[in-house]
Amino acid sequence: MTSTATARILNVVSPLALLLLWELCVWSGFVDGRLFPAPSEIIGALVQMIITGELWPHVTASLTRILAGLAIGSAAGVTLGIIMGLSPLVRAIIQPVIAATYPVPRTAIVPLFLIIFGIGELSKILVIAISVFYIVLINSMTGVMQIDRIYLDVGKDMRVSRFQAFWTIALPGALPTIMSGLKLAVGIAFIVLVVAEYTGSQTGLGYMIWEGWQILDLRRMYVGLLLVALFGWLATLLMDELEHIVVPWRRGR
Amino acid sequence: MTVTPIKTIDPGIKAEPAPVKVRLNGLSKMFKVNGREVTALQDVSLTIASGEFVVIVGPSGCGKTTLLRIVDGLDEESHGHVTRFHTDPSKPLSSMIFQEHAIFPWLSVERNIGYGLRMRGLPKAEIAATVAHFLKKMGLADYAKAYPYQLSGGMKQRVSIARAFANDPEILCMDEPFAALDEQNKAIMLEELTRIWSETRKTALFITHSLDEALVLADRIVVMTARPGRIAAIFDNPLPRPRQSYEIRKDPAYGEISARIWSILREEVMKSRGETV
Ligand SMILES: Nc1ncnc2c1ncn2[C@@H]1O[C@H](COP(=O)(O)OP(=O)(O)OP(=O)(O)O)[C@@H](O)[C@H]1O
Ligand SMILES: [Mg+2]
Repeated sequence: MTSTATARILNVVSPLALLLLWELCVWSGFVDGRLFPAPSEIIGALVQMIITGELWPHVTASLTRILAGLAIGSAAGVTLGIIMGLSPLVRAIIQPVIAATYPVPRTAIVPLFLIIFGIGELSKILVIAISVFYIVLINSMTGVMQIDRIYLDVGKDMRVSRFQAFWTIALPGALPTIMSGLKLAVGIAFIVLVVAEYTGSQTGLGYMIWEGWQILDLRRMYVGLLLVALFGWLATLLMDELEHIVVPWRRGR
Repeated sequence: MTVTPIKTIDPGIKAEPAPVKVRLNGLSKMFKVNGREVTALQDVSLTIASGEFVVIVGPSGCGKTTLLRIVDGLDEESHGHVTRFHTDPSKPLSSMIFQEHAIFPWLSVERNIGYGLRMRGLPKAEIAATVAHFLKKMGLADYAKAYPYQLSGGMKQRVSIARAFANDPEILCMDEPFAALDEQNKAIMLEELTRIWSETRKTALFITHSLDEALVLADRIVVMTARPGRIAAIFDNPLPRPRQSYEIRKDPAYGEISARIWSILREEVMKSRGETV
């Protein structure tokens, strides 16, 4: 058996083995089933929530927020990032602001956003958007600044306009780095989503986790955790696929 | 150093001197390297006629690329003057084949070759025809849709050559375009370049370290000094056209001219090495 085939099988087997171990520990009474419900119980709770229709509003609420936040944050981040990469002047103006605010943990500004934008949808979407914005902006700017000068020289040699240089050289040249930024952003967006939903929210997977803990319905909490993990994993796969499509020249590397 | 150029064997068609295409007047270029000023080019003056093929040789680091970039308009001269005469507005004035592989990694081979034409907004059918022509000429027809990462070094270099040729400029600036090619492809490319040049009467500037290449292609050979780059000597190529790379060696004039160029070049190369060691 080749090592990659072994790795692939282990990828599936090791999480399953862990779940099985967990299940056995609960059944044997080694672990308190009230604090750590067996995987079978969590799946049962999940199925029940699907049947009663209780789950659906939480899922749609979370997915809507994360998609809106990602869309706003990455559109703004990519645009401003590329402009900063191309223009030393814009960079000189904006970079100090970015550098000064970047170290503030994104989850720490949730209360601030609740004050400014109220406890409605907007504050949650914007908290996600701003977290995404930073990482995408920095990657886009770096991506443009790292483009080999020789490609800009070719553009100059061909007498391309600034507009053409942007679309045919700056953007594709920075795209691999922009894509890695977007992939990181998706992961961060899930973290921020859950924290934003803990407070001032009646829906969402984060709310489910929080509420499950508060009313000590721990199976609900675990269902929430399971779904966040599942969606996060699916989003990562989707981003890999997207990268494959928009950066075809990186294939086989 | 001054060297009396060998008399050109004039085939008699140059009844009238060709109009000037590029005129370099007292050209100098300085670079700041770690706060120290480096003179890359010093007082270079040269007049290139329309349709002329000029080959530039000289030690590594003597400013050949710098000179070509200024002629192409990529860099500004520090002192002196460059005049270029653009006669056909339907064609770009000049295009460059870069010393490094400068093909876009994000474009397929065919889109790389057609890049200049697309940027000029030429009709799609015309671009497709030109691209197909050069794909075939460069032996890349099977790789039209491939990305550069799927090509060998020599193939990438051929794409870069095709992109400049397809752009059909009045002045072709070529910076060691054949350096990455194998002997067989180099021979084919030399013939192809000679053909394109003689059919289209482009003005050509060509940098090389190979005297064979120089003597096959050139009307005139410019030898540059070690840094700061100045013109050491200019030779007229005495070998009659058409020239084949293996045929010209039989010509007694070949041995004589290459010995004369070598004697100057070797001295300059020694100087450039002594300076850095
Ligand atoms: N952008 C730059 N900044 C600073 N120095 C430069 C720059 N470009 C070239 N130089 C310097 O100018 C000198 C001439 O460089 P150039 O590339 O023109 O040499 P070359 O004759 O083409 O050499 P080679 O045969 O190795 O290609 C070198 O000393 C080089 O270090
Ligand atoms: Mg060079």
